[in-house]
Amino acid sequence: MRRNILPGLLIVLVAVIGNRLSPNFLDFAYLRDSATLVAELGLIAVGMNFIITSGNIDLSVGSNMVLTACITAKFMVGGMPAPLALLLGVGIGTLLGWLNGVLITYFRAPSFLITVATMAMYRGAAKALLGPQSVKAPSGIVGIDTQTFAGLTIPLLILLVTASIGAFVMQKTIFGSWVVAVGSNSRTALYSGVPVARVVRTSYTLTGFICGIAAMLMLSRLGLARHDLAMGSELDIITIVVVGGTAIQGGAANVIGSLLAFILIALLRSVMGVANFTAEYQMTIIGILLIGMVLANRLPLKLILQKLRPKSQRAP
Amino acid sequence: MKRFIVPLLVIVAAYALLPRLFTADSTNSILLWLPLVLTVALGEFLVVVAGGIDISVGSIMGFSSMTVGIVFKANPSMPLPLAILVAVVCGLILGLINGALVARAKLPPLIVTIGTLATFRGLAFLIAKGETITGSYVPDSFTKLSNHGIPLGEVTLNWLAITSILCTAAFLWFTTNTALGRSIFAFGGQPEGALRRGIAATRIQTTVYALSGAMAGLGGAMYLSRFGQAQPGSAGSGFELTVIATVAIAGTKLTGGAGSIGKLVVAAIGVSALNVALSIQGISDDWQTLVYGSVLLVMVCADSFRRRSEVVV
Amino acid sequence: MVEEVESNGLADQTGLIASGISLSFGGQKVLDSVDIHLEPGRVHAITGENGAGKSSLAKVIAGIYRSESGSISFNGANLNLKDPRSALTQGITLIHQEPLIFPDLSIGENIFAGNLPKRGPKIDWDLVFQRSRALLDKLGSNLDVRTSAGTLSIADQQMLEIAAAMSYEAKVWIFDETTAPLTPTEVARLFGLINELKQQECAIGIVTHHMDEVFTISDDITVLRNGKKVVQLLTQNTTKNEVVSHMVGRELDNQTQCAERTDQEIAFQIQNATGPGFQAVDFTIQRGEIFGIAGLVGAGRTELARAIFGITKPTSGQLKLDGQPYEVNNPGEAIKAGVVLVPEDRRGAGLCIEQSILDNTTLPGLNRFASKIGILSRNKAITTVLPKLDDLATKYQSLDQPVGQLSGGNQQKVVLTKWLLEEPKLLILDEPTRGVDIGAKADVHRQIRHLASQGVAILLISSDLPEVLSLSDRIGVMRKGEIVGTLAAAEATEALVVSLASGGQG
Repeated sequence: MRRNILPGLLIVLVAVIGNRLSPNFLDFAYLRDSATLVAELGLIAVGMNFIITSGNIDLSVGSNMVLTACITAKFMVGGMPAPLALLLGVGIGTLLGWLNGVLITYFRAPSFLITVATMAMYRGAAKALLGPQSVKAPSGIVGIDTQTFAGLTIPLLILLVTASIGAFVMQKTIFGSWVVAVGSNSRTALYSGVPVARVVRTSYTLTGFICGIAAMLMLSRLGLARHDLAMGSELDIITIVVVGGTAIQGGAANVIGSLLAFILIALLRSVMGVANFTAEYQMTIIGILLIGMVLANRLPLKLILQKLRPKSQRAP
Repeated sequence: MKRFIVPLLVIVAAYALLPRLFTADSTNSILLWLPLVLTVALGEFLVVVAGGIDISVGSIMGFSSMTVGIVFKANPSMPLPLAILVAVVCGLILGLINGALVARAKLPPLIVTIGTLATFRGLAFLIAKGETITGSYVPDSFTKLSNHGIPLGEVTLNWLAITSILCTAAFLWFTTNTALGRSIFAFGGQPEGALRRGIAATRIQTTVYALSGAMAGLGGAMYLSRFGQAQPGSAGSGFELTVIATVAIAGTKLTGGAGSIGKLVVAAIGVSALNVALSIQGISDDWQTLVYGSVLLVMVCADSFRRRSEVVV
Repeated sequence: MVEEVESNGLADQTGLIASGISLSFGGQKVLDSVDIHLEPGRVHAITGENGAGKSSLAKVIAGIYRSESGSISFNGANLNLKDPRSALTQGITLIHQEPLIFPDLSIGENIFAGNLPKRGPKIDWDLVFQRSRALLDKLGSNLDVRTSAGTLSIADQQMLEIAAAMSYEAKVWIFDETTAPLTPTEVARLFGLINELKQQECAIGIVTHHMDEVFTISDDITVLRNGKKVVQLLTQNTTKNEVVSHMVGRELDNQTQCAERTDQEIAFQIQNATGPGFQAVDFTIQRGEIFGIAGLVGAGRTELARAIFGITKPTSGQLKLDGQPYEVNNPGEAIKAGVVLVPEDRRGAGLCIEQSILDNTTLPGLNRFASKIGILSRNKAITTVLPKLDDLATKYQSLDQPVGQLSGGNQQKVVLTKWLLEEPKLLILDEPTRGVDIGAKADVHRQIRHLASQGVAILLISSDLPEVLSLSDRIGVMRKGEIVGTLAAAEATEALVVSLASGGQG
């Protein structure tokens, strides 16, 4: 719980700033719609939680989403029925995620190097496929972000459901325990019979699957696909995970915290939008937030809290 | 002998496939790319040898090229060495920020430089105040550095290339003949052991990130000279990928501790030639990211595969 | 009979004097106002149980940890040891238990790393190689100083660290459990070197809990317990029993009786097996039998254990468990078949150190605490784990406590609990009591016997000869990857085992 205090305070702070900038800021529909704009990032952050908790990282998620959206849009333009194309899109995302996992576990390569490479490859493939053009999605699938159910937009509902499932899987299932163990000490995990490589592969495949869903949501929201969409989105996603309280070195997860962090990022993005910050300034603020949060986690906060705690609870 | 086989094979294959790559024109084009790639790669090389990674170099280039451009705009008659000094100092300061976060605050290098990649790019916009540096602000004498120099027949060894060669020599000397330079290799190979020998992590990490920043700063000046203009959003953007690919192609141990500057030069020439080859072949820019990504992936896999047996589980 | 030396030797100003040294980690006191005086020309043993603070004291003197109070002086001059470098330049050096070398650098550079000699602004590489050659000659080694250090044995790696210390012309030497990875010949050579340093009027400290070593090499003994200095003794005036009772703070009852056992059916059988690190290994273990494997470090014992556990694979030979062919590809399959391993490297392979006791103990058998669709039940886990932990007399505050907060002995009990939950048929123990204090060691031994009495076959690998001899029903001795002899408990003696293990006799 304590880990969720800082994001909570930041949310209040950002909301107060937003309210000062624009009197209409704290309107539910407005906030909902601005959160919907970044719902894909929150969604992928759920998957990224598993990857980071297992002691790895994935820099290719944004590229995966874009390539998946581009290929799917191409198929749709080529006449493939929309439901089939959407399914295929989710499949492509899954496949690209799985490929990361296979490369990392087979070559036992550092995950950040493999995914730096696939980040370039996936986006490069999108660029090679479409060039500078954008592909329009058929009107039938456009606009899912404007449909609401129980007061929330469909993307936000999907995010809520995914995060809940993610949190449940992480905390209450064998697979979740395995992910934590692998990130905590992969050798001990192996010696305890945990199928380490499979756990890592599954985390990447799962994230790929979520990237596929996110790609379809993005396609529907924007109504088009282009190679330069979602540039730098891995920054937002990693920031969401870190701000949410998941340990960057692995072994400790907080999926619900990520949901809180998503709200923070969504609010922050929309405040910055109100304040007319350009995309680059927004990116800068997110970058500073990321470094600030890892820095805050590294501060001797633990020691301070330990001193504040009653004596009986202290470590022997 | 063995180590010459692969580069030799690559050259032969390249000649067979693309003889045009070996004309004076192409060589001059390669020499336009080489200084940028090599200079920035030198700094990244040290970071990787020390067991770290710096993916903010592209943004540092962007920031320094904007700064130099702005300084030129305010003072068109500024002496060129001073302009270059400004670029290096800009990079050095940003590199020191990375260094402080990694060495002092003990944050993971990847996360730090993902964050500063974004932050430094924003700084470039901040100082540019929405403007771009167009050709009219950059003195001709400065752009001439990239296409004038020492003529060698039809080929011109431009001043930027000469600068990068001098930098290479300095790095070579630094890494073979100074205690600090050797400590970087010791630290990257076995950080704990280095500590026992009185080699302080803070000093090594601060040094490599500062140098990486300084070289990227110099790279920013080279960018401005070579392209004659700079935009805050695009100057140096994505260049980290080229540079990391170069370091990987050079066979640098990606977990730290070993690498050769000689091979780095060969790799930088290879990467520059690849750039030129792609454009000779009429392969559009659209394919370049894919090619770089693939080359990097192959190198990472090969590097890890070679060391796979060393991993004792 | 025992003469107590003045506990604070400040009257004598030569040598290294550390006084009032205190250190704590995360609020936990590791050293509490400890004094020690290392005199020139004398060897001072620093001993105590695991966790007594021996190594921490050594690391404070070597500048790796900073003392919170007190002072350190050398030959009367106060020292400010803020990092390892300042200690090294003052002539204070620490030889670590596990040498760490730079695999990609040359042997010569390994010796001089951090201390490379210069001519003008440049490193004088000729001098580096010349001087490292001379240092290695002095140590009786003929390694090529220009080759890379990547493939050296542990003993050679340690030699590089010693040569490095010699390059500083160190006057104060501390050896921290340096003999652990060495063969008897290498130990003898090391002791020869220590005696030589003693002749050269160096002040020497050796950190060890091996009484044999203490009495072979030392002149003075300081005993630490729970971070406090208990007593300082003169070696010639004391006895092993006296030192041990100071270490433990109570008398020990040696319960080493071995129950007579009757022959039972064979539980595990390994026939003519060859694999990475071992060849032609042949033995059987009956149900309820403890089969000990003795041998030197590097004899292939751990490699054999890893192959049986499915981490590596035997290239040939046959393994049988309960009469059925036993062939596994990974530890998961081994565990399923009923074979478990308590690894040598407890922190690195036995535990997830920052995870809770509950998480650690339930990790291999999570499916047992889960519903059909894989949802875990915390209550089920707690009710299963609690009694097993109590059986082993594990001391802890709560099941959610990170295992890193437990002592070495209690950590090992957590590892054992983890495997007891699996109800194994074959339990492989690799150095089960390394780094475990004497009290917990007895608990672990009792549990091993108890398990055997319940019919579990036990393969016990240990470098602690008294442990192997007192626990095992039969002992296989390994040398260079082969089992060179199998002894029944009745006929096995330390001398016999050592001579087989080191190839002393045909």
